[in-house]
Amino acid sequence: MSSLLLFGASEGGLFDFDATLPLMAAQVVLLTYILNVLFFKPVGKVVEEREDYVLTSRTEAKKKLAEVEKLENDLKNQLKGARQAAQKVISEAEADSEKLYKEALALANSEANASREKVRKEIDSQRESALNQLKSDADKLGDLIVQKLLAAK
Amino acid sequence: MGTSPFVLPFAALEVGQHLYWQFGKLRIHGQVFMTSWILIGALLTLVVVGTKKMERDPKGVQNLLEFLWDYIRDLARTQIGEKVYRDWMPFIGTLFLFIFVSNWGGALIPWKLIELPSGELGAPTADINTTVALALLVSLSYFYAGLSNKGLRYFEYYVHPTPIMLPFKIVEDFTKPLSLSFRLFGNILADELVVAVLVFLVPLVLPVPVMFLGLFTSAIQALIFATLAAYYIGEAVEEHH
Amino acid sequence: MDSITTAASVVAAGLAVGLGAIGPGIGQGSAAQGAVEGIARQPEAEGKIRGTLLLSFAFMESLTIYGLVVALVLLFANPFAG
Repeated sequence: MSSLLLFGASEGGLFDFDATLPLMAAQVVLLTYILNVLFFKPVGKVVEEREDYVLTSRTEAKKKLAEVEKLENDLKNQLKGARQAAQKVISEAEADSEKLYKEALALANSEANASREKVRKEIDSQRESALNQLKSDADKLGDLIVQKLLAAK
Repeated sequence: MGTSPFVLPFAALEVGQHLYWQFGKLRIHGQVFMTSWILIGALLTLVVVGTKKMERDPKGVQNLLEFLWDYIRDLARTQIGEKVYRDWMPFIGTLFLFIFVSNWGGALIPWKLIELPSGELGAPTADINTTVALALLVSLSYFYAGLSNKGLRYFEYYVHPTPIMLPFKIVEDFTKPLSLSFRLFGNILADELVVAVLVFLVPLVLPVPVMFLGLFTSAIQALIFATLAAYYIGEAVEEHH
Repeated sequence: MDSITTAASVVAAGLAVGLGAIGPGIGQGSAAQGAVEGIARQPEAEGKIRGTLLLSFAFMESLTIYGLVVALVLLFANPFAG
């Protein structure tokens, strides 16, 4: 009947309080001090130093970023000015070339007109002379015809 | 007592047997101290190895230690509060690490291979003396925390919303260590017993998932003990308005 | 230790664990229900919910463990064994 209690020792048992309790408590307190010196303080120092380092690095990086942004803005403004200047130069050059082109065109036009006029005048005079020649030839031919007719009669 | 009908050579259950060491009139449970020294030694070795060469870029064991430190700090900070968590972090952390190492060490190291004249080696936290010692330390520390932070005004806590709460709060002072110690003791002992009984019935394969479950509950119990200890301390130092 | 005490102790140990498992069983069921609903509603909070759930499971579990401790007392450290 008592086989169930086989595992419980006749002395002691599961709930056997003795000097183990205070000694274990003292041991844990001691362990707390040892771990505080060996573990919590050094590791805490390193971790917090790193956190500080990360924090300062971040603020520094933020500062640097702000500087970079400022520089970028400056450069952008410069670039804008340069672009405007270039634009102005381009438009001036375009206007100049336009003007030159127009002048050249006008000159060419007038030259062409003059030479055309000259040619026309020449043509006119030649035509006139040709007409005159023709007229005189015709007169001569008429005289000749008249003479021949008269002679034949 | 007689002989048991079901004692097998490889899986005998021994509950409540101890290896007694006698010092004068004091008697202590030798097996508890043997395992706890081995486990504390392992823990301290890990800590010493990990903190030997600390660098800003952590590697190896230092990573693990920093993870633990961070974890313990979060635990202490959320439970105790920003103001005094620093003072109590080593205590909470030691409780956590000691219980965790004890539970896992008791489950993972094949202690049964070492024969003792009486009793058997196992998790130190499966002995009621250890857990009561830890729980009483927690009680003392929350009293100390309350008294050192608020002086005699600490006792306002007992009549805080109304004086009717007084008896309940006094009873709580007794039930806190009781439940703390019995929770830990019962869980770890239950894990060991369940595994032992299963090994006793089916020695192969079947106990393995139960062992994993035991590892899981062991870890959770360490966390719960540390969390509750921190919560009690935080309750004691909290300012009422 | 007479047989009546032994029998009563064994029965009581069984009852202590068995009855002690009912309440936490129900409690764990409803806690798990709540957790599952929470995860279904907010899947991104799963990690936090799981942590809290495990912690509260352990608290409920310890109620059963108290019953187990009583059962162990009755079986292995019976105060009435005489």
